[in-house]
Amino acid sequence: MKQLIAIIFAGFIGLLAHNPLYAQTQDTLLLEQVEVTASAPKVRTERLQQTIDLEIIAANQTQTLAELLQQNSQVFIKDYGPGSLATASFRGTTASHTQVLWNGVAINSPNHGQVDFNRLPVFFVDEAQLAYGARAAVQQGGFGGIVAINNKSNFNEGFKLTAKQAIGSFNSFGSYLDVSWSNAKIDLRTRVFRASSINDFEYLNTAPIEPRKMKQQDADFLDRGFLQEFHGQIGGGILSFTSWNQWNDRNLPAIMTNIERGGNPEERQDDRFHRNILKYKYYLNKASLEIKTAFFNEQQHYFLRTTSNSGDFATVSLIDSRNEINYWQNSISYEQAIGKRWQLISKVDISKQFAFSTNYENEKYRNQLSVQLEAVYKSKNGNSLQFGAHQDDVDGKRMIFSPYVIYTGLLEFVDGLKFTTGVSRNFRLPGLNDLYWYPGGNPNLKAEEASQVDFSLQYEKRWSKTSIAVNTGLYASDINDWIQWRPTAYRYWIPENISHVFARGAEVSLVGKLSSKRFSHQLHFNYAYTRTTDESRVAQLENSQGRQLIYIPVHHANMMYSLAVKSWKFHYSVVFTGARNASLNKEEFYGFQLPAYTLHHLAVSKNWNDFAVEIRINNLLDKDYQAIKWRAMPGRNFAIAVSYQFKSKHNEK
Amino acid sequence: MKNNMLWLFILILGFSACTKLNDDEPSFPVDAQLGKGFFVINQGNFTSGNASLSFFNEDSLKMTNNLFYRLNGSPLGDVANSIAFWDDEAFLVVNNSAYIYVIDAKTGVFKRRIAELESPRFVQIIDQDKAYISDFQLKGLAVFNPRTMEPLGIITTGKTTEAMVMIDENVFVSNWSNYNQTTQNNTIQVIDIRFDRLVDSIVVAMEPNSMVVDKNRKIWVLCSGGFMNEEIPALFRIDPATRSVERRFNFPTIESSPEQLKINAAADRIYFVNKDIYAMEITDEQLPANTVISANSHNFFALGLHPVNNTILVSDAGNYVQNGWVFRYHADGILIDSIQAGLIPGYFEFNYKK
Repeated sequence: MKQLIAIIFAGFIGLLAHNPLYAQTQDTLLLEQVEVTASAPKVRTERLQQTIDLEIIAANQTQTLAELLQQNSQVFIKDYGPGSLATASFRGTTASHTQVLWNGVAINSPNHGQVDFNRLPVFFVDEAQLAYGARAAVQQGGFGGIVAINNKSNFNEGFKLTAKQAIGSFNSFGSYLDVSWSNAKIDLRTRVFRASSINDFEYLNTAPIEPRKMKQQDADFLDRGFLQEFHGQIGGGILSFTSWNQWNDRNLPAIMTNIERGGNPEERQDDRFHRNILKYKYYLNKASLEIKTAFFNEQQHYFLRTTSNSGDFATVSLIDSRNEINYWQNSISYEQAIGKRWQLISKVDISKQFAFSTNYENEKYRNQLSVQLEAVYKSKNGNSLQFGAHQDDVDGKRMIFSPYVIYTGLLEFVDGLKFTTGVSRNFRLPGLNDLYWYPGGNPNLKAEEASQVDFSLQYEKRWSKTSIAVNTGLYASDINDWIQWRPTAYRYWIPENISHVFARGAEVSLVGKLSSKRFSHQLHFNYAYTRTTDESRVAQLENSQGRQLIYIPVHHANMMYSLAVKSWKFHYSVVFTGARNASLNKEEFYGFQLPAYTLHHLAVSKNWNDFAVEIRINNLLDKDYQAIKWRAMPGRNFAIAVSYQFKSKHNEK
Repeated sequence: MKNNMLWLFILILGFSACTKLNDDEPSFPVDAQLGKGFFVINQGNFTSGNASLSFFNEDSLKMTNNLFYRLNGSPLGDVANSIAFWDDEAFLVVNNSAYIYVIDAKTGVFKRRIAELESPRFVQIIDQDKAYISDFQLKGLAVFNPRTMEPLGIITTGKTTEAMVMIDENVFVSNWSNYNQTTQNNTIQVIDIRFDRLVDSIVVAMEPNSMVVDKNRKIWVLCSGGFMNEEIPALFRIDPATRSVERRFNFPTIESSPEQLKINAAADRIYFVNKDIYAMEITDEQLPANTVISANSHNFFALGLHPVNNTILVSDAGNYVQNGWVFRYHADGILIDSIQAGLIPGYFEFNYKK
């Protein structure tokens, strides 16, 4: 009987696979789409706006999150060069307005509020989600948006091993090892990586009197780290421990105009971080309770030394700057479904930061308490209303009340069309550098405050072998007390809450998928139009009002096309970055402008059972460009990666 | 559907053909004479590589900005600091790019350079075969041949070096920066140019930033009192023959940061910036109480004096991230005009003497 059912089922599947949509025949069955929903409360991350396709994550395992987001999202990546700093910003804001969450805990530097996305290996990421607008207002800081990267448990998978080795241009190497074992109750996983490059690429230096080809120097880096996970199904819930440890060392190259400095300059930055999260999530009837504690230790060491050109080579300049942050956060969150329509969420976060820096006069502390309440209502026809607020207390001072409301409504005149609109208010704390840098730090700085509104239309349609999802949106953010470092009557600068920034724009994203018997096509497209200007009285007096803020492109876009044929995969991506101002001056002067540029990338991979080989060609058209003024970038370059995967058959349920 | 997606792909790929090209800078005739006027050294922002050179023609009353790039097709570099003249050549000191470019003082065309310096600030030409370069970080002076640009060595002073004046066979150089220096930055070092050697030092106050020589061959030194306003700022008059301080003028408040000491064509009246512009005769017994020019809302940065008619040049650096302005005033402080310059106009020099 079982065999008969299997045959009928196989035949049924075979029928479906045999007929692509564009060659519809009489024996093709088109199944009506059925949406399956669970009654259990949804976790907060499911309400985030965009989830990076798992296939994209899988195809970029040897890349950094900067490279992945640059080619596959609306996030704007400001890249100082391969292996160098890369920051992410949304919707015309800055890198410190992008909140980055790892398993729900912010990993932004308390010193300056930013995250270096070139230090986040995709290899350590199981899931990446983006949120912007009102959806990012669930916690302080993310005026531009939230990038949430998560690790997921996988029970009952047995033993798995994945090893990858990559080698590329400019003496680049990457080694990746992923070992895991899980049964029905326990999931253990260890991931280790090591990535390095000499980065001695050739580039055209246009700064000297006689422009000439040069080899990049002092841009080498070495990153290594491990991610250890434990997940256990215990007492009706899941206990998880994740520990992310990384060591990053890099030399800092001179900009093109300073390439001939004497004194044998030695300039480098060494970072270490150890991030640990212990979490227990308990499932009740239509409810869940999560208790989490996180402890992070982060260290940065910046070193600059030059020596005399004379025979004694005595030290001429020396900067040896060290920062260390210890961050402890405890949180408890509870989600409860009420009836079929309502869901209530409450969360309390208590965190403490201890900061030591050679640039501060003494050790600094910051204590923060955050209480969040949220309600979600979903109507029978699929419309939903999400509203909530968080109230924070920082070092005994109450911050502004931060509410948010998001409404999603179906537009029934077109099947699959819906709109979402959101309104929110939020704040961002000054970084510890803004408060305590010596000299110049301003302990009286206020938090920045933002009021935001956004509207988007989403269209999603699925057929049997095709799907299309289109998202178009408009947004506006009004940010007061934006912090800006300003010159003073003294000779050092101090930060002040001086700017009033108005960021607005439009975004379009499209995902199209088409499968046939032999081919599988995917097309991803993102475009952002961004206008960000300082509308403060100070900007008016300084004649910079209305001028696009520096390094924020008005236009940027990316497109990725992938094709899978049997065991082959092709990915072709195009990234367009529009012209950017490098100053607030209105005149067109080479020193104040960065022209637009487009980069093309190609990746081809082939699988043989347990093995796979991937070849990448980056900057396929060998474009000469600058992402940051006078910072050299590589031309066409190659990488090849070989991977092996072993999976045992799991035998326990 | 498949064909539609293919066309969409091709359309999107077409973005790569739509890259906006930057407009070329309008060129400047290479053999054009600049005329009589003054150069403005625009510092630019640190590590932004956007320093520039401007020239103001006194006949046409026209300022040509980005002159170096227009003439030579190359950026000036990162943080240009000063300019010095010798015969018909001008030596442009670019601090953070660590080189000195030599240009034709009449046309602005590049001629030669010296690179691989440490952190150069000013040039003092000794003669046609020797020049000194002061340095923000190096504990001494770099020596080079201004004709061949060949490095000739380093004079070790044990302290960083900044402003220089030459009297007879001595160069007096101020120790302004305390960068990586454990001893206090409050001296004027004396270099014997015959032997390229430190022979003496004179203690003044912290951060001696600028010096001039008056008609009586006395050296005036202006000290800001320290980066963190550690001491009362002071003005000194030094006798170079005895290498001693003759007179000290203390400023009234420790919060002052006076800089940019200049002297008029007759070498009998000195000017400086202390938020506003002040002036005093070299025979005055106390510091001036009244301003010559009030800054009001301006951010006065650099000061220059006309070599003939004592016109006062003052730059306004604004917010340091936008182009600055140059104001020309009559000697009595009446405004003549204002002209836009480059980013942080930090130094003036006329391309002619009396």
